[in-house]
Amino acid sequence: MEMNKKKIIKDDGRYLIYYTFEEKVKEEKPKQRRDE
Amino acid sequence: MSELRWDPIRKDWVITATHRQNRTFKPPKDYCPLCPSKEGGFPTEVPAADYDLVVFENKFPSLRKNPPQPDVAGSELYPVAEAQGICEVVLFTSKHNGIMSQEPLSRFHKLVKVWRDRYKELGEKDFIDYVYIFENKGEEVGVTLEHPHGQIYAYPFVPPLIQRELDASREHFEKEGQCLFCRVLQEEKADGRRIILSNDSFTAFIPFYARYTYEVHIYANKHLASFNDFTEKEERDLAAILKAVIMKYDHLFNFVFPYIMAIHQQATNGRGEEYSHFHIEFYPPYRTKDKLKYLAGSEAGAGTFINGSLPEDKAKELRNTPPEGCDFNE
Repeated sequence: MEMNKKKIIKDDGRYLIYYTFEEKVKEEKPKQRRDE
Repeated sequence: MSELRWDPIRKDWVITATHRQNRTFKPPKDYCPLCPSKEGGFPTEVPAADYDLVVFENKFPSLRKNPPQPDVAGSELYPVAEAQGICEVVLFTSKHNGIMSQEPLSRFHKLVKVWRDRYKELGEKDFIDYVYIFENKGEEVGVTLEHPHGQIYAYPFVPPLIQRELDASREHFEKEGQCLFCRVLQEEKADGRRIILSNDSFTAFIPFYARYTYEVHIYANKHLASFNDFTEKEERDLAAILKAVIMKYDHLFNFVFPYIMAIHQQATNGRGEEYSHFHIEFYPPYRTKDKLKYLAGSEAGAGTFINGSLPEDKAKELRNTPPEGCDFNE
């Protein structure tokens, strides 16, 4: 799982961080077709 | 007003933070400051219609990046210092009534990733010596906002309880060449009666010397000093055992079980990698389904806990409470 973060500064000067996540896509080897 | 006042008798700092008396106290659901901001609604802490996980600087911090000068003058006996540090709030979910034990494993994994990030970022600041990650859960432990959240206090010193643990482990290391926490885990595994469950990377148990009836500790199986040493697998394994322990707690008496959760690890002042050991401690206030443990005369006034139960019996009770393991196959 990959994490990304975005930091903003609010009107009163305090920071806030939004965390978002992406599932890592597994690279699959192409399956060999039976008729090949 | 906020400052550190030195207690020369107990030899530790006390934080005065008078502004915290005015913090938001049990607001109605529609005015929860930790929910996303609704269009046309009142502005909450999070200016977005939804979020996954969020961290923000506490509005009522005990410690600040740029603290005011102490309000009182210190003396040789009574030193005072600026209350410098950082206090953050971690929002576990955007759902106001979210129950963590019912959340998927992925939410726990995300939370572990966020905790790791905060430990690293805050720990790199030169004025921070210790990043303390914790959760107060339930009205019984004094929670003022019911929305699922935790907190982080980044202290300019190592807090005394943690320093005491680290000193004990350092002494053991110097004498025996082994981290004391590794030794405790060996002892618990060899005995086995207080083990609740485990996976490849972590073990949950009620320690031999538990102070609270259902006091569960989660130790890293190998010597990991802090979040900085974790692999992706160890992140996932911590998420899984955390979820399992919290599910057991909630199944125990069929209500959302309150607790204080404390994460202890290496100080960020760069010392003690060989004798600091990542672990989590839970202090639940319930000693039976309907009776609370109070810190009374012996505990509060003398520092000696009285535990009215046997850790061996309570570990068995938790072991027999679902789920059996922490393999969630999600």
